[in-house]
Amino acid sequence: MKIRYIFLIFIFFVMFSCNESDMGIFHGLSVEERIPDGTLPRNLTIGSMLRAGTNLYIAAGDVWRKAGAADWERIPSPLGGGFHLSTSMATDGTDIFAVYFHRNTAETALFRLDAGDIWTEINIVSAVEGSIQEVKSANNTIFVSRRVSANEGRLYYLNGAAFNHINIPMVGSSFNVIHDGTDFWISNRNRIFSGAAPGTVSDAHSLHGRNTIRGLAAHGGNIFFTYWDGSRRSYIRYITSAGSPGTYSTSQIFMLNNIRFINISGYYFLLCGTGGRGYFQSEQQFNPSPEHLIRINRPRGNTLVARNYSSAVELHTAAILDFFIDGTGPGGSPMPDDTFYALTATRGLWRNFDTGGGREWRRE
Amino acid sequence: MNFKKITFFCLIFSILTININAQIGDFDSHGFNYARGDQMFTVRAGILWPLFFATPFSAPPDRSAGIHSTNLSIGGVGALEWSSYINSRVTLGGELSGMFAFSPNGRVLYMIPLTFKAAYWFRRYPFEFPIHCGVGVSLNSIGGDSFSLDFIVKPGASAIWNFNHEWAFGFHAVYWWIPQIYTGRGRVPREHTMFGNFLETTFSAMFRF
Repeated sequence: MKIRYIFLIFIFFVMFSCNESDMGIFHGLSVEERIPDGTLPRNLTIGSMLRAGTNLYIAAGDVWRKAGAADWERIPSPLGGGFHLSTSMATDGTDIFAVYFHRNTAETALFRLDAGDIWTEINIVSAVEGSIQEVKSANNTIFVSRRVSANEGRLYYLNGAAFNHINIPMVGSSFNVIHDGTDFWISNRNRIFSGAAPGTVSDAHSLHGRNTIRGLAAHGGNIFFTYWDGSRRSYIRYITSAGSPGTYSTSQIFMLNNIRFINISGYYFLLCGTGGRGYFQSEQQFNPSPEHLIRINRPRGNTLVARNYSSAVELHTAAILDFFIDGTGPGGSPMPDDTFYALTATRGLWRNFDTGGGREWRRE
Repeated sequence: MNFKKITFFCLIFSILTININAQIGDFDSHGFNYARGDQMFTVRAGILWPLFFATPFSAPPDRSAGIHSTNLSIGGVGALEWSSYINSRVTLGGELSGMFAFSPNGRVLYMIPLTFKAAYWFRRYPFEFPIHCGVGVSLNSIGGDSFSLDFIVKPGASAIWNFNHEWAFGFHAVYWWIPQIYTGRGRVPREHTMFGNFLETTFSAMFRF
């Protein structure tokens, strides 16, 4: 009789066992391997990334450059180190621009990287005062935002040698900009603007005022965007190039960041980083509809990573701010077998590429 | 080792032995007669040695069936225990433990077992040698992302030196066996079933009341 009770207690505990993840803890440990260090510090927060010729650049506090197959090297900050923190940079195909914050005054300034790794400050002549916040580019056009007040911003684009004001109402100074091959698309807070030229963009779509658009991408004649509804839910949605609204994705409790498309062996994937929970991706589709692309999941050891499981686990809990697609073709369309990078917060830069025996993530 | 050093250590050992013998005499005169209802509270701290994981299932292409390394660093462990005598030889009680260890990539594994514990006490004053076994559940988590609640069995043995009637200090060796069983009906596949094996070695301070 006593043995029966002991057996019942054992069964109770076994049945009570549960796991909130999709992987056994001991199993995950048994197959974990140490991820090799790259040449970049492991704890970098990568604000932005670009390619200029054979060189890759990242803004991660300092600006770092990787020339061809060489190791990453740090480019000295401007003005003797007074300006020391760069979180965004962009290129117009010729010059490289970066926004730097000053060490002591929190002042910001826009710099251009000239020959000999000399930073030259670029002044944006404007009737309105304010601090430079972000620099981005689309279709080889440089865009710069300036914060005028706590809730008001201004957006400029580089037109020849001068920065021209883009006449759209900006809430705050955060923005996204893309080019779909025909038009520029700019998002700010809950609104999307589009136009054939930066100076002629106008309202294309708007969400309820409580929403904040986090990312913007073009694919297959549609504009995809992520947004946060202000109550702990994030969504992916798309609109047609004409501005007609498409369907919503299922809501996610994670903060979704920027959105990108890649092409692996002819299959299209949507990628979307999250704030602290790795990234989401769409399921493998040969010629996916927008509805398929926004049907995302958060796999561990996902279909893009046939090998190197440990790296996938490491990224699974990272905050991924953005992806950089190194091979995006004209109009932002994904190129076959893209090599792409995950730009994380405090966990460095990661590269996903084909090793010849499968794709894997590797820390840069 | 030269003659002087040997003499020195023999002298120190003799002094310590004389002191202990004096205390043994003191204890023997008091006697240790535990009765039902006597209680004790123990605090332990030490090292948890990850031994191995075992599984009857293969999970291609990652791993085969059999014995596998835990890939964990040596961990830290601590425990709080309360128990009570049901007769002079047997105690029953409960124990809350906690351990941590690091994966190769710096992820932290936490395990917090909560167990019922029974012990049988052998004695040779001023020493006691309980053998014991705990049974319960363990809350396991790694990296802040995975969590599981698993069954745990903790058989072990201890050597305890009684400083006086109330206080005692000891060394403990406890085996942790944690079957992490998945049926495959949830999100975790059945092939991820693994049996965790760890060895706890701890020092303790015990208070009887």
